[in-house]
Amino acid sequence: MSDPIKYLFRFLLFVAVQALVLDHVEPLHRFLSPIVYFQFLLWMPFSISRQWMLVLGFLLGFALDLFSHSPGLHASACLWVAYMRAPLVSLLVPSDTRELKTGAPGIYSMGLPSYALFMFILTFFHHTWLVLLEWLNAGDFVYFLGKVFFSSLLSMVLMLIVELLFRPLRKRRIG
Amino acid sequence: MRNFFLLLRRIQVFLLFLVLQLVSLALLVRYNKTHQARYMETAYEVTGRINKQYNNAASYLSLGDNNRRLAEENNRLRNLLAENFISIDSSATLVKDSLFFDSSRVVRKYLWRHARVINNSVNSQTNFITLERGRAQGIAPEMAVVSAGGIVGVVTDVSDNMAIVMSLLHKKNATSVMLKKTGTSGILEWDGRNAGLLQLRGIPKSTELKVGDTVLTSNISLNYPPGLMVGTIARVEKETDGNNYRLQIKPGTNFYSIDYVDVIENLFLKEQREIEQRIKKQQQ
Repeated sequence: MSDPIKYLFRFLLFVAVQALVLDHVEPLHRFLSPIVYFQFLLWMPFSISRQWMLVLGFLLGFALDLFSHSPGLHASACLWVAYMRAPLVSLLVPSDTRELKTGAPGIYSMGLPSYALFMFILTFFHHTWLVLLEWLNAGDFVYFLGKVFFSSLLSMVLMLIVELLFRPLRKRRIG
Repeated sequence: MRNFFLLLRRIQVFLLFLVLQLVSLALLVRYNKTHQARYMETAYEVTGRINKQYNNAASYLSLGDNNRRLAEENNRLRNLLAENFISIDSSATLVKDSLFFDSSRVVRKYLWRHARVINNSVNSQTNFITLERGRAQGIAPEMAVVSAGGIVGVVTDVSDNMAIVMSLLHKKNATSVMLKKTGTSGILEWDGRNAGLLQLRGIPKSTELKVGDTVLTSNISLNYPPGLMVGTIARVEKETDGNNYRLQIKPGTNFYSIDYVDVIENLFLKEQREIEQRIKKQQQ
């Protein structure tokens, strides 16, 4: 399957799972909402241009907004993920890594510690912005702090599980 | 000038980020202000259709529960049928006049329309419900929505075939309700903590009440007909300052599983608004 089609399917799948399944799960607590859809942005290849990344981030967020009736909310949060991705990659990945040309962020290309850090920082950016906007609309400070912290943790765990289930763990050997 | 363009080129990524960010925030702010963004209508028709397909499949899982609730409601309604009541007094003789005059003068005030729920959220601080019935099927903003168990919310936005309902589980929701026993009215709100508990404010401490008492919609509400089930008192808290109770209300509606609702139109709403506006103007 060619790459653009693969990404399109991935996009639709992430939006569908988030909007139709995860958003309908009864919350264990008001601080815990499972959010994983922006992992789509994390999985885009290293080589994608930053402009495309921003456009994709906006589209992904907006697609989800159409389901949750909050135009602009998720789009705005996804833009942070898309914008912060490239600086983080150049910070966490040594510039002589071979995967920078062909690969995508993942445990196999970055190693577990750097990838986990990469995931955590982007999750944190996404959730902080999302809950901040929600708080400005209606909410209180305790809700803001609690939801950012606990939802970030929950998202990290879920994203690691998705990562372990669907992506290669080791570098592929060639030949 | 050349340097300026070079600068633009250098920071083009940041500029794009800024522009897109501003677009999303503008969308968000504008939508929050009115809840009626025309440009979102088409989009909601599409996502609404997807949600409907999803709901078609998911509704099989709650069929049993729904049947039970419908049977209960049928039973309650049958009990209200006219055949259940007889008039004992037969002493008066009825003389029919050739000139027909309806002395009871019954005029319909509320019109009920049923609708199906195709999307529902309880996770957020600002929860909305989507109905598969819209402007073309007679739904308009400000109509009240009730389920078999109790009131659900108020329509805020309609497209051609879908309607968006602001659920009671919304931080900006405020509904006028009353206690069934004493008729004392207060304001029903939600603090965003627990989808199973609403808060009732404004009931004076002199009011007699206990846990389990019924709460109904009040007779001064514009949207809801008076006397509809809202819920029951689950806990009584005394506010530390002021002389009101703060009551925790268990809603009659189970917000986790709403499938079918009724949308109620107040046919006198416009007339009432107009006359109240006129009085206000005269007072000024």
